[in-house]
Amino acid sequence: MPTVTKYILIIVVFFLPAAVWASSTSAYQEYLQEFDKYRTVLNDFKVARSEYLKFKTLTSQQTALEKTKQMLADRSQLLRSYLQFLNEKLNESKSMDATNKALYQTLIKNEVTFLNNHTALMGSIGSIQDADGVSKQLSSHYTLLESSIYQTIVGLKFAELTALDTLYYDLFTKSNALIEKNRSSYTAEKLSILDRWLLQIQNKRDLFKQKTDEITKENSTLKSASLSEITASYQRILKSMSEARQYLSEGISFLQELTASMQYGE
Amino acid sequence: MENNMDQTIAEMPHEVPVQQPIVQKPQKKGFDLRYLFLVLIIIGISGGLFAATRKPAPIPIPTPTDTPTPSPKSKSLVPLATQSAYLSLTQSIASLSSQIQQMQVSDTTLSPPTIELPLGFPNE
Repeated sequence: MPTVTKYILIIVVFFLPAAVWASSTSAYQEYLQEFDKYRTVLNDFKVARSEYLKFKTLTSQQTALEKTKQMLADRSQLLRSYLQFLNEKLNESKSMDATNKALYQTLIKNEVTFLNNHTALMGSIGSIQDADGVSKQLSSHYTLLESSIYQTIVGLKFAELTALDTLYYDLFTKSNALIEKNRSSYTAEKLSILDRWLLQIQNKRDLFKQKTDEITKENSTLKSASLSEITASYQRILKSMSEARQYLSEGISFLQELTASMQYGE
Repeated sequence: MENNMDQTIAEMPHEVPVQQPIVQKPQKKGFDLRYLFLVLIIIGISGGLFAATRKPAPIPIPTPTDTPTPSPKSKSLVPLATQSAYLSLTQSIASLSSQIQQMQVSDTTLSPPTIELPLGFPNE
C-alpha cells in the first residue's frame, strides 16, 4: 500500500507542472472545438432560416426556431470559451504586473457574467421574435465586449514589450558601469567611440519610450462607439508595437557591437 | 567742250570678249585596279605563310614565389575582456537578442472569433 502511494505521489509530482503549463493550451484547444461546433450549427441555422423564409410553413418555422436557439447558445459558449482562453493567458503572463492583471481579469469577468445572463435568457425563447430580441441584446453589447477583448490583447503584448525593455535598460546600465570602471584601460579615441555607442543605445530606448507612450494613449481610447473604429485603433496599436519592438531590436544589436568593441583598448 | 568729250568716248574702242582656247589634256591611261587586288592577295598569302611557318615565341612560365602577406595587427585585449562580469554581460545580451527576435507582436491565436450577429429574419 505505501508503495502504491509513493508511485501516485511521483506521478502527481511529475505531471502537475505539465498540467499547470498547459492550462492556456488546453483552453485554446477547447476554444477551437467550440469554434468548429459553432460553424456547423451556424450552417444548419442558415439552411433552416432560408427554408423558413422561402416556404413559411409551420414545420420550417419550428425548425428555424430550434436551430436559432441552438446557434445562439453555441455563439455565447464560443465567446465564453474565448474569454476563458484570454483569462488563462493572463494567468500565465510573467511579464504583466499584478495590478494590470487584476484590471484585465475584471474586464473579462464582467463579460463572462454578461454572457451567462445572456445564455440564461435563451430558455424563455418561444418564438423567432423572442430569439431576435435576445440576439439584439448581444449585438448592442458587442462593441463593449470587443473593446474589452482588444484591450486585454494589447495589455498582454504591451507587458511583454515592457519586460523586454526592462532587461534592455538593465544591460545598458551594466555596460555603462563596466566602461566607467575600466576607463583607464582605453585610449581617449576608443573612449569617444564607446561613448558614441552608448549614446546611440540610449537614443533607441528614447524612441521606444515614445512609441509605448503612443500605445498607452491609444489603448485608453479603445472604447469607441463603433466596431470599425475599435478595429482601426487596434491596427494602429499593433503597428506602433511593431515599431517599438524594432527599436529594441536595433538597440540590442548596438549593445552587441558595444560589447565587442569593449574587448580592445584601442 | 562737252561735244569733244562725247567724241573721245565714242572713238574709244569697245572691249571685245576673247574666247579662251580649249586645251585638251592628254588622256592618261588609268591604273588597273585588278593589279592592286592581285598584289593585296599575294601580300596576304605571303603574310599568312610567314605567320604559319614562324616559330611561336616561348611564353615565360611564371615561377611561384613567396609574396609578403599582410598579417592582422594584433590588438591587445583589455583585462575586462576575460572577466566574468563581461562574459556574463555578453551572454545576457545574446539571450535578450533572441527573446526580442522571437517576440510576436501580432499573435494570431489571440484574435477574437468572428461571429454573426444579426439573425437575418424580417421584422414581422
